[in-house]
Amino acid sequence: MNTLYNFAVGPLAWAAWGICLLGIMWRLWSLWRLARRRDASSVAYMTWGCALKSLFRWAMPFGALGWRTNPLLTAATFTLHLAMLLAALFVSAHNVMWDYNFGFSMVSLPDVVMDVVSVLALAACGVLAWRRICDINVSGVTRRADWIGLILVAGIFVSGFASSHGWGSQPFMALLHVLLAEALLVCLPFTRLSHAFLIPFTRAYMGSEAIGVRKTCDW
Amino acid sequence: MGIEERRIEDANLERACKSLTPERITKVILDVLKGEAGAKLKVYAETCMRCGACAQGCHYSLSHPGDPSYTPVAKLDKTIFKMIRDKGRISPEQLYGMAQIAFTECNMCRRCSHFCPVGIDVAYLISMVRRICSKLGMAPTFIQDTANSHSATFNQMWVNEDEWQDSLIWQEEEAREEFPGLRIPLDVEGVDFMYSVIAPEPKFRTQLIYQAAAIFHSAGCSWTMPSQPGWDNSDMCMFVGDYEMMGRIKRAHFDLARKLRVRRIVMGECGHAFRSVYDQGNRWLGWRNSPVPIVHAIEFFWELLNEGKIRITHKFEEPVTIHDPCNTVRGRGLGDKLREVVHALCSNVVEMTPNREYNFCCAAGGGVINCGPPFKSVRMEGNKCKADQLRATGVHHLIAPCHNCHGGLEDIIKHNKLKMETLFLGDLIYKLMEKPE
Amino acid sequence: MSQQKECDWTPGARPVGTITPLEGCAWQEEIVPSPDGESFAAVVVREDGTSTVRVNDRMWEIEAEKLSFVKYAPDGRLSAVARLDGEWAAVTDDDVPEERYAYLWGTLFSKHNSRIAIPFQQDMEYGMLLENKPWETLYGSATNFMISDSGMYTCAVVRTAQLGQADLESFNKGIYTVAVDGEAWEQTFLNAWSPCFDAEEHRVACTVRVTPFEYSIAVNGQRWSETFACAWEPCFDETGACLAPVRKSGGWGLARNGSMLWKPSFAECWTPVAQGGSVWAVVAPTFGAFTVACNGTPWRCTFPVVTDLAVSADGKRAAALASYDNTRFRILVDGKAWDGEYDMAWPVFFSPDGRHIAAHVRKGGREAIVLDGKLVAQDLDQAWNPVFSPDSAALLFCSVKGDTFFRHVVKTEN
Repeated sequence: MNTLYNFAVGPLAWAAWGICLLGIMWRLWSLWRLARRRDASSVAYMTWGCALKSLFRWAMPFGALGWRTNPLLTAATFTLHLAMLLAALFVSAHNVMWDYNFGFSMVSLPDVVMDVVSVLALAACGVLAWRRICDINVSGVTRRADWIGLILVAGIFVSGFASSHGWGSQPFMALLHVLLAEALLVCLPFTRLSHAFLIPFTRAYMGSEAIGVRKTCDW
Repeated sequence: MGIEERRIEDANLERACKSLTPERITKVILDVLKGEAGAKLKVYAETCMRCGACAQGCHYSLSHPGDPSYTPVAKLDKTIFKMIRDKGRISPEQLYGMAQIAFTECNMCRRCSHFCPVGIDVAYLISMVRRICSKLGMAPTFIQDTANSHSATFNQMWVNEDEWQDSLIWQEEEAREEFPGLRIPLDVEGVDFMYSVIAPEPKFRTQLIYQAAAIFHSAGCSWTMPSQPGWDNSDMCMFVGDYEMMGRIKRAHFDLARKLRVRRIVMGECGHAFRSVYDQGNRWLGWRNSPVPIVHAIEFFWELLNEGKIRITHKFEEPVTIHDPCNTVRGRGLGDKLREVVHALCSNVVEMTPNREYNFCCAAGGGVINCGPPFKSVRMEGNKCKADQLRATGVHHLIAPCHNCHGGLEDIIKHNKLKMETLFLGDLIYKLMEKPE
Repeated sequence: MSQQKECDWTPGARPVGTITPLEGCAWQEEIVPSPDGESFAAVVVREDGTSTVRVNDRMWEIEAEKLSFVKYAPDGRLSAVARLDGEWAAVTDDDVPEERYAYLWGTLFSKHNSRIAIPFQQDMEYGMLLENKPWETLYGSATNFMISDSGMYTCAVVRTAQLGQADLESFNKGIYTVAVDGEAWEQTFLNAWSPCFDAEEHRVACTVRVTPFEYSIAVNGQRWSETFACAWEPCFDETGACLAPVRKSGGWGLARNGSMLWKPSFAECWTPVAQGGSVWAVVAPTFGAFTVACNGTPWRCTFPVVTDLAVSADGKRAAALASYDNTRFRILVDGKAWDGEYDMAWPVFFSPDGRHIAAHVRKGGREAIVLDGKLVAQDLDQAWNPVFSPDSAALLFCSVKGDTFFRHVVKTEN
């Protein structure tokens, strides 16, 4: 188990990150090429100013009409994504690993804070899962691809929380946490999770069209 | 629930359904998905999180509470996303349902895009579905007929060249009785603007030409109208996904204005024509902006009133409300100018809720009303929220500066027994402006 | 101008007459200059409401209900269509023929021989008059009217079968084709547009739509075996080959007799001109950036809009207009933009020897004539397109300043 764990946080982690980052770069490059070839008449209108305005409005909870009219979705979405960001960057266990491997790390938030963040994240996952099952506007269009990200993220939080509290057998929980996180990294460029790096572009485009061409807003 | 349960018979859809083979369908779908579509389609299909936020944005969805098949995401899931998922393996029957959804259950009004956290351009995706259906000959009869008319006569109503000119001469003579010396000048070079209209005007709404001529005459405008084909600024080809024909007719429209060396094109109160002329048509032709600036009637009337070129004798006293046509307000930000014009003409303006870029579509646009009588009920049932919105204003006069909106709103008013009268801005200006003794 | 040889090319500017409305006129419409500049005409409406034409300081005798398409033919004849007692007649120099039609419009003149063709409608059928002689066969609908350069032939796109309301079935059979002098091609198509004659005037080419999303070019009814995603207007080169801009694999190029001559690498390509062994067209190498291309090679300068391509007789030089939002016009010549930016510009003309270029422009509400990059007349109320003398030594144009119509001739050298 320890060997496996060391492999998971060693070479496998490098591989996962490598696949993730190279995958993102490859996807962005190939989509950019495709856009230049086939979407020239859309790309031509994208501007930084309009793009940033749109991104800024939609990055604010309840900053856009879409967010305000779907409060449960908004609360769950922002909670989950903020939690993921905080957990990835400010959990002490992660920072120990960064420091050990590379000699630097971010500042760590108190463990109790991260516990609350994890619980909120799981609650958010629960809300999103509930929507996928019970909200008729969502359940009818939900497919396997829509569950992958949610299950992985929920699994990462559960295993991370369990590991940090010594629940379940160790280092199995920690290993599970690492493997799930690496699965997420590997899936990120190639599944619905790609929204992480593609939404800035869709927002930039929609903002540019709505504000720049149509002289209105997209929020 | 589901398109299968609400299939509506349409002769052309039936004919295509019978004659298509699954192999042909697959080929055409893949040709479009792989051979024409680009990064936008790929990214939208991938990043649509199926979150359902768009349900609040769509009048069809809001008018069918409890039926999720009308939400934008469901419509996409049932059409373009399914085509992608199933790699084009769609049966003729399934394609029928997709055509019915794309052509008659979405007005491409873009309201849903205001609700989407990702920024999915649903109208673009629906347009792709329409294009695929058109390539397979599967467009509803009446809208296909208008597209055919565009191709043969460069207008949507099969108006021949002589009929077009004759209707202008006729309106000129009629108007001259009220405005001595009034002209509808044909093919005059070098003037300020070319006035362009949609084809229903010379056919059914000639009084709008009369009114426009009267307004321009009173305002001392330097203007002309073209005698040649290409005068019709409307564009049903855009709405059936026939971009090649859209390009051809828009090129003709711009070429007329260029050859007349006018400074700009002023267009009448139409919405989709505006979208075609300043946004989609020019792009297909390789122009970043319209080669000749386009001014919508809303903006032009605003200009005339602000510059004092039109003086009104009194304001319209009855309470009015404002419908915001999708393509000019959400589509071009003219909501403020529209309100300034209406407030200049009317003393009692009651806003409907929601309004401006968040206003509900009339359900006639996007070519839906052009799909004809078989689909009228789809529009009526699909826009109950509009009827509620109108009813809540409590007024009897509805200003809607768009031809299609008039058609759609008049149907809603009649269907819901609302006792409202629809008005163009031109109607009001003509009624209220100073006229010669 | 057919009568160029008899035209007075003596340099100088002289007044021809005043344009103020004559006595007895309620109003006067737009001024139209004659090709030799010696006269001008305008539709006038008398105080009794009847319409006539004023030529210099005299009026036609005609008392029409309405007059339209008042234009000078190249040989100086003044043509108009007049409504008399509810029907229309093709009038030339105040001579009213007996023939009447339900409607007449869109008068065309041939480049040589100054022949006049007018589309007409009678009993809801359509055809063309050529020097007042109507086609023998008429059609339910006709558009895209053309007259050949010599004026010996006319053609139009016609509909060859009945079409009911919302009659998709008939439309899908393909009922449009070209009729030359009223005789329709045997082959019909879904649509046909932009017919043009070859140099010998034995062949007509047009763009056709074969199926709803397949386009090609047909010559005398025979279409190319290749089809394309789209196609624009065709033209013939001196060898008799037919060329047309076509769209393939998402880009535009030029096809010659069906095979690609220019690769489909342009975002747009149209208005082809084949002259002197060269082929020119307006192209957009990338989206939103237009220029002129010669034999597939675009000029370096690009602009948002480029229009009105003109090519010298020897095919070696070309000029066009560039603009931004229909203003800030520049005159492009041989790959470079002349100095001078204008609010509006009219098409550019080459002299017969190809050495000189003239254009009519407007700036700040005042009109001017530009010759070889220099203003030769300016501060005019109105001007009209300039014409070169056959020996290219002089340039003729007309103007209005104040209430006077002027005729100008300037030497092209110096």
